[in-house]
Amino acid sequence: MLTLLKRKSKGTASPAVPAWHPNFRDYDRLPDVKTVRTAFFINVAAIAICLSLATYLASHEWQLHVVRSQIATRQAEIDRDKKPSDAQVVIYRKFQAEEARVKDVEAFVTSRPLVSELLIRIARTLPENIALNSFDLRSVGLVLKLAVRGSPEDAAGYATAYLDQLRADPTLTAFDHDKFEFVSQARDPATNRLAVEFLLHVKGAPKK
Amino acid sequence: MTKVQLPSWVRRNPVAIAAGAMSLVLAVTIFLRADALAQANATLDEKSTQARRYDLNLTNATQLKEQAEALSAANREIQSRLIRAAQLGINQQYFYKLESEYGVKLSELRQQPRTQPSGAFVSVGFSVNVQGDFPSVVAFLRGLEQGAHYCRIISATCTGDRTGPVSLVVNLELLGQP
Repeated sequence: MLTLLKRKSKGTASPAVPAWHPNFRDYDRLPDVKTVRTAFFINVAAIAICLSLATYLASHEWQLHVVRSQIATRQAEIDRDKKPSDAQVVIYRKFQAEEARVKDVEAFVTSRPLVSELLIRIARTLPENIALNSFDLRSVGLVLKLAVRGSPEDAAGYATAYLDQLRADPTLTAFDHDKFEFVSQARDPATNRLAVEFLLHVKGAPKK
Repeated sequence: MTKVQLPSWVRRNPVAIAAGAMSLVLAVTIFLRADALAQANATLDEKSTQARRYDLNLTNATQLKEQAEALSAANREIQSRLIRAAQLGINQQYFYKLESEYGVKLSELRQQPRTQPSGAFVSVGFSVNVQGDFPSVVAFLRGLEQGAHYCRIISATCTGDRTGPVSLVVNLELLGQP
């Protein structure tokens, strides 16, 4: 190594043609004097690659085995549950058909208010000074024609109070309480009573 | 390395050769089985979904049989309460029966033309005009609404005074089958 670091003087330059000598060594017959032979490294590398591949394959196969055992478990569950489930699906379809009929009937019955209940409620809560002349249930709502007894000022007050009373009645569930209208009022000269007309809109009624 | 040297090299490195051959076989096997795990996972997902669906069906259907039987019984009752649109005589008889039961006078009874059935049922329209005292008329109305057949009142006009009879004009529909 030191020789390499030494500065070569111009006077000691090597000759242009190296000194010739015969080489009679037979390398095949000469003993391998390396401390660790090349074959060792080749064998180690080959075995390492082989083991790595074997480990990867084994891991892959193990995962596959686990997944396949899970598939077998699920398949067993499917085989166990399929028949009773199919039977329940058939019952459910029948249930749906039956339910649709019941819902149709329910919709039919609840689509309009119960007139008898309504008439009884109106009759029971009618104030003392007011008489019901006409009860007219239409698609848009309920028209009540009333005769109010009393002086013109008092009769108008009774009518207004009665309309407020109807607005506050919680049993009139079929009606839109915000749309209770005082349609008309007129003095009937024959009876000297105030004829008034209310319109109680039903919920979801078609617009006029 | 020449062709002549190869056999001697092979003879001198049996372990490396065996390991190399084994590696080759393993690599080919890994390549060929690369998709197997993905396919198995896809199959597992599909089977899991199917198994879960069946399991849910069974869980949700715990009382389904009893409920279906209850609905069947309700439908049998519904069936018995339906009228037949074509049986005009029997349908009118129903109103006359109510008339005598509640003591009102039936002055007009008309079955309206048949409408197109919607679904399993058909609404059969009737025009009814009755007179009577107020309690009888209200009882007649209640008899209609809570009677043997399903009824909805489309319009009702009730007029009268304290002394005289009350007049009631009703347009109603009874639920029937075509």
